[in-house]
Amino acid sequence: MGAYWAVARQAFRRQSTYRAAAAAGVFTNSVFGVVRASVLIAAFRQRADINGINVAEAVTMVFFAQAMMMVIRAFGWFEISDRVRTGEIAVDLQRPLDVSGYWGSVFIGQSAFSLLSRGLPPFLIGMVIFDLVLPGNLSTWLGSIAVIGGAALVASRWWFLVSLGSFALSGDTRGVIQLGAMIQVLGSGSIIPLQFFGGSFGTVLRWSPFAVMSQLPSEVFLGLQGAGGVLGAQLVWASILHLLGLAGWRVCARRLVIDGG
Amino acid sequence: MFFRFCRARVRGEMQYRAAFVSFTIAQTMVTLLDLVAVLAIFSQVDSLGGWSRGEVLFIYAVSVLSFGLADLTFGSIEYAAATVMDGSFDGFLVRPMAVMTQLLGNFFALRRAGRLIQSVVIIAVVLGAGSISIDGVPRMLFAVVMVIGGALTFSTIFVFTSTVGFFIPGAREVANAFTYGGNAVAGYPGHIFGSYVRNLMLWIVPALFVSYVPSIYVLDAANPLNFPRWLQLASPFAFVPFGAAAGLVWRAGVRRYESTGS
Repeated sequence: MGAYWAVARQAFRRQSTYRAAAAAGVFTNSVFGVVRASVLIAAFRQRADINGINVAEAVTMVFFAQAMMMVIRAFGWFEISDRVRTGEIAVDLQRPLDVSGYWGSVFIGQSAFSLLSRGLPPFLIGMVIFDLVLPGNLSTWLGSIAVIGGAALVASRWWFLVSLGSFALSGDTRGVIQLGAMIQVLGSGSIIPLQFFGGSFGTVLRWSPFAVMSQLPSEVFLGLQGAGGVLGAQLVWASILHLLGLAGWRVCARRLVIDGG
Repeated sequence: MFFRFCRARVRGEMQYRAAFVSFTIAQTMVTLLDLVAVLAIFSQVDSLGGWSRGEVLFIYAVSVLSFGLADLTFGSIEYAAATVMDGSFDGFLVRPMAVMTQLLGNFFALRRAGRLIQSVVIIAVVLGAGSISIDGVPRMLFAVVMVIGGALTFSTIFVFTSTVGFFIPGAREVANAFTYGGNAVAGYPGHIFGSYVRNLMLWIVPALFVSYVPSIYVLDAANPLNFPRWLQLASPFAFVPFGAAAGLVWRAGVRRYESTGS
């Protein structure tokens, strides 16, 4: 356990060296937040209530989603697939650590840094420009922090699983990751709150592993949902994705052939 | 010479056919996500800032088409900053040819064409479904001018933002916020944005002149901000002043460049 903690701390610190990139990313996330929020505000001029949320809640969801995007890596997570392409993955196999646990720790460490450096500032900028809804009591704050952690855990298991796809398509890894990112971005409500998808499509998305990565945590933050149920769903999805990842890893590790001398 | 570069690049791309196909599909789907957002909004409300679903889809598709054309021709300028950082920019300076031509030719990628196909399909569907109409030959001709002008406007934005790389290496993400932020804004009726965003996207990054302002004329759409007719008609030429500025900054950037290499 101590080794995994050290790996996560190192990942946190390594990420903190890219300060210029983080500052630029904050700017990008803020711009996109303002654009998405403005569009939703225009939509709410037509209807005060869209499937149970009002305009302030929708705008808060937009900035919550922007804050979560780097935590759950909604733009893709290329660490493992890049190492498969270069062959460096062979080094990971020699470590006296479980591969899925090692990369999970790296992911969590990076997520923790991303939340502070790239997640919080755009949300604060959103608070300055728009009226955002904040939790009214301590237990909602604590519940929100818990489900944000749960979201990072589920995302780490999701990206481990998707990264395994790069073993099957060696040399052509970016397409798989991008496809994984798109499904995640849509299903997690990062493009638009899931309230805008009515009917069975919306219901399917709400019960998918992607909803627990951002949409449902934002509902906990707004007090529309209890933290307990969402945390339970996150643990179930993390377990399922973890077991799938382990099974997939066993197949991949057996098939793995490292090129080169 | 530029086309000879491009042909060579396309031949190169086709050597990795699977990567070409998967990139094209991925890029088309990224653009589709924005479309999904627009359709999701219109599944709940029937107008956005007084514009109908067909009108919003039209300006969205025009902005994607213009962006796609600009990306195909000038998009590779984004690698200028990378070549400054890895030092290969030196190579472009010593060859007897315009730096811009070399950069664009050297990084030309046909796979950037994925966006184009999609936007043409949306325009065809929207026009075919009869949800909007373009009345009269002048408006139709102007629609063509609008797309070409929009592509040139986006191209000048690419050149301008990539020049940031000469002055502050590593700040390309800020540049991306303007390029992709401009792209995100360009597909919506501009009057739904607050005055800060709107003025930024009109007078600093001329993104709203790509599709929104000229479409007020093309579609005869609601014009709550009262853009005068001459401005609607002049929109496709927004790239002229902005392009002149971008050209000056680009030249200053190339001249200012000092090799760090040994």
